[in-house]
Amino acid sequence: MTDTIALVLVLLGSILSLTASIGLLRFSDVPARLHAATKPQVLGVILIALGVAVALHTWPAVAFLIPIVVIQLATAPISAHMVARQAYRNGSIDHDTLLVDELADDIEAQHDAG
Amino acid sequence: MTVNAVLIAAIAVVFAAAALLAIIRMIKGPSILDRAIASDVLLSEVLCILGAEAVINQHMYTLPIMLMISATGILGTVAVARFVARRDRATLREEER
Repeated sequence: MTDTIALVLVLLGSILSLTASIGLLRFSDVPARLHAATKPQVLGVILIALGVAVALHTWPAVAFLIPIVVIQLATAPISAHMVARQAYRNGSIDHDTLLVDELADDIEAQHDAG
Repeated sequence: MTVNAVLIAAIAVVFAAAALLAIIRMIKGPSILDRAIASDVLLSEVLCILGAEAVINQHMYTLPIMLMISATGILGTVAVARFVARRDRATLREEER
């Protein structure tokens, strides 16, 4: 019974991976693709860590899984932030799709300051 | 038992499709940042597949590998983002001249 619960959790995580890949293929520009990419990085890893904990049912496994999830939660936003920032500077963003653009004001202020 | 076999087959198929779609985006990707995002997604899918393998075969030999992948996975994307930044500044300077 616990095996089945663990496998269902892993299946949910794998479906999140699949949605991320479909989003990666279907969305049009870099920030939209980043939005899709965060699903397996955070939610999928959490679901699969829960599945491993349920299946193995030992404390050493949990002691491995907690750092995995915490490190993933800490590092995914850093890489996403850097990629999005470079995409903005690169000009690979469709500016018509942005409703609020606070970085443009900041860059303009920086240019005015010299 | 049969329920578990069906679940394992479904997991294998879904992971294979997800990895294939990420690789297609990595080949097609118009800019290098798209490829960086696709490789990041592929790496986190490898992380998920290692966890699924640990669940299916009921062992914990792959957990240290998962820990190392989640710790070092950020480096590739950050390095690509920095490289793109430097090249862009160089082209901007040439345009100003």
